[in-house]
Amino acid sequence: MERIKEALERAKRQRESAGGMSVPARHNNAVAQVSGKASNTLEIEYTHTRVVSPDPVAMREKRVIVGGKGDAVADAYRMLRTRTLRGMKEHKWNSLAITSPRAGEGKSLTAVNLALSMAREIDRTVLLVDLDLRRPSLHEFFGFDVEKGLSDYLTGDVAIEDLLVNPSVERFVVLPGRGRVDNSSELLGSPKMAELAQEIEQRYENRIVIYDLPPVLAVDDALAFSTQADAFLLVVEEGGTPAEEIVAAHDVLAQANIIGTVLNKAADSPGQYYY
Amino acid sequence: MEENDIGLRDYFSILKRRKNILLLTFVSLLVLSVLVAFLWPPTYRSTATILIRGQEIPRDLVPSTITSFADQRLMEIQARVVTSANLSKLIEDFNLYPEDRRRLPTTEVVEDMRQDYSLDLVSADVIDPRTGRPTQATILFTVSFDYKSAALAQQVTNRFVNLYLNENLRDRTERAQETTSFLTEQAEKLNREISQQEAALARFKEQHGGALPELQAVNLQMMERTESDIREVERHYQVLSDRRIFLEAQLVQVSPTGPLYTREGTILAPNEQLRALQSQYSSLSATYGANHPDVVSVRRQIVSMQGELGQVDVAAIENQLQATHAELIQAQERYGARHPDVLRLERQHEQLIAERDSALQVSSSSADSTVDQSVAVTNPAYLSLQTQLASAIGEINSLATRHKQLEEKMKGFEQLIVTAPQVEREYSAITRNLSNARARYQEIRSKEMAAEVSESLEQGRKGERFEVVEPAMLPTMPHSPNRLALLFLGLVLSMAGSVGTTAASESMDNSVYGPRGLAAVLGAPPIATIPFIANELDTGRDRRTIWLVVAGVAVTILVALVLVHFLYRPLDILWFTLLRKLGIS
Repeated sequence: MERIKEALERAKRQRESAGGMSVPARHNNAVAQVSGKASNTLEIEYTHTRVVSPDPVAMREKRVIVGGKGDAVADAYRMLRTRTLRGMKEHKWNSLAITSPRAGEGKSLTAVNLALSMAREIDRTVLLVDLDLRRPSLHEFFGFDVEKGLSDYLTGDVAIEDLLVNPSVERFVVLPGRGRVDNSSELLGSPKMAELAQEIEQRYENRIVIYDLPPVLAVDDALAFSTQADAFLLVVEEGGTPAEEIVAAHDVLAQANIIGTVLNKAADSPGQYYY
Repeated sequence: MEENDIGLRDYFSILKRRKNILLLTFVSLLVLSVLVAFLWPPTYRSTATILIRGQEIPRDLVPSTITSFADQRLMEIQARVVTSANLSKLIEDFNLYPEDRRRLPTTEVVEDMRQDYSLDLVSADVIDPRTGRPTQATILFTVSFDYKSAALAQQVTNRFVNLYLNENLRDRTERAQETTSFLTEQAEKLNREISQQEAALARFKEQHGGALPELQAVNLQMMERTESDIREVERHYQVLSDRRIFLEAQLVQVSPTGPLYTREGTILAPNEQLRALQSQYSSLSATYGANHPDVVSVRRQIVSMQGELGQVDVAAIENQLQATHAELIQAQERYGARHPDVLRLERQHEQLIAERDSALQVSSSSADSTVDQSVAVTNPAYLSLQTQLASAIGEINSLATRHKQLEEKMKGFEQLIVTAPQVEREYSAITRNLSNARARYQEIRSKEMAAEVSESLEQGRKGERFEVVEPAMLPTMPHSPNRLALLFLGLVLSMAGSVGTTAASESMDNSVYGPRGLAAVLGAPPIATIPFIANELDTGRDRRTIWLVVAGVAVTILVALVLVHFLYRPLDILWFTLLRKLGIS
């Protein structure tokens, strides 16, 4: 509760300070990674990006971790973040697609929480893209309404800047989806999509792009997009995902780089009792 | 880390994630088994004990005709008691198994009843008095019947006991009677055989009356005597034959008519007188005419003599008649009819006719009685000889007859003696059969007497019999179920069942658990393990659910107790009932 309140206040402050600016947000490329925490923060002012204040009730409801210390769940996400980032840095990857064998295993939540956790590191920005064109859900985690989604961009003539939403979290932007698209895999495999991916990944340094993909085994969207993402993170539900489906998902994504798996909804996480 | 290495920690984690299903199955199975243990309808068993009493009168004195073993007979009796007919009658009489009867065929209900009925034999080690070897003997048996109603169980058991007693009595009496009637039948058969044999013997004796072996000596003797008789008769016959020849020779030499001696002298024998007259007549007729008185007188004498002797000379009369007739015709031609000569000749003629007729009459009558010559026999010597001869001939005839008779008799005896050996063989066969049959008849009769004694032993219930030592009592405690055991069994069952269900659900669950599970699938552990994030809804729901369950259970129990207390039975009484049901009190 306290954390959320804090975050909300901070978001409010930011919105006040950034109000009225029409210039697109730009990163300063010079990144100071010095020990001083507050002073060396990568400050970004979202001028073009729509900034929304997230609905704390919706976030709680959707199990979004807003940060905080000493929380086993937050620690677990921190562990995930650190390990993922290390792997990505090693291979100089900056996009990560998150998927799972089946629906409902927690890909979107993992994507949101991982993105938030990464955004909490001061030296990089995070873009979270909702690629589940059939059932876009990322906006629900923050409780805002989507005016224009990714499908509008891919099918219509909407500027990408108009789509981005900042849910009042620093260094964190969401590219939400909207409505329901039937030819999702074709759209995801289209050149426009490839162009977009190229664009958003290359545009800024120190930007991590996290794609929230549909389940691997249910539809071929993830497979269609697999060439665009640098790495894949497979979310597996403890006591939910059958072993053979994990293997099958693994096989489907054999051509892509799988950075690892996440065991979600675990009954107990190792080490949670020690801290 | 080894894939198959399942440690205690894994069991704990399994237990942890399966605790819901574990508890659920455990509690539901336990509740179910407790319900079963207490609601299982009680079955009451009523048991009667029947003693097999041995024969009261020692077997040495009165041997029983029933020799089979008691348990063997018991099994036979059981087979006759537990027939479908008996059982279905019991079911109808006591209205047993009303629910079963509504939905099952009678045969199956009877089969169920057979399951509820039981017969147990109690044996003891005894020494078999017949063989002297130690053996097992059934000394008593129990009959019991299980039923859900104690009173009915008792009644049915008593009925079974009655059936056993009656069946045993009937069985033994019947067996004894059977033995007796069999022996009686045999005796009668033998009796018939004996009378048949006796009749055959009588018939045989009748047929071969004289040839029987015991008469052999008499027959021989008789034959010898007959033989000597025959010899005697032959000798006698010879003598008489000689005598007859002699007499006949004598008789020829003696004239039957000897001379008659009168005062005037000897009177000639009539035939000689006749001869003399005839010669006188021929000399007279030569001298005198035919009508000369002397001639006529002589003629008359001749005729009378002839008549006397029976020798009428018809031809002479005829000649005379013809001569007279010719004279008459001559005279009639010469003289008139009124002439005296004619008249005289006519008279003479008529007289001659009459004479001839009478002579014809005499000769015809004398022809029949030539034997009556003896009448005319006057010679006494001749007569005496004749009489002697006749008697000799008569005697010879009677001897011949007797000889014939004796010969026939002799032949008969010879026949008897020849057939004797054959007859003797048949006779001895018949008598042997008869004596055999008599011996057997005696034997059977004595056996029959013994069997009759044995039968009266059974009828007087002095033989081996069943005695009810302990009649069927009204059972106060149910025989089954053993509720405590059922409870314990239910506990074990629910434990095993819940563990089994858990294990089954664990093994059927193919999903991964824990980093190690994932590592086992993919070969690498996950880069992160994120615990389940409970939101407020989850925690709130959990807490609310727990509260609701606890409160609901408590309220339910309370309401149930109150309801039971006021509507069914006060709780303190129920408690004691419960203890009693468990068999603790």
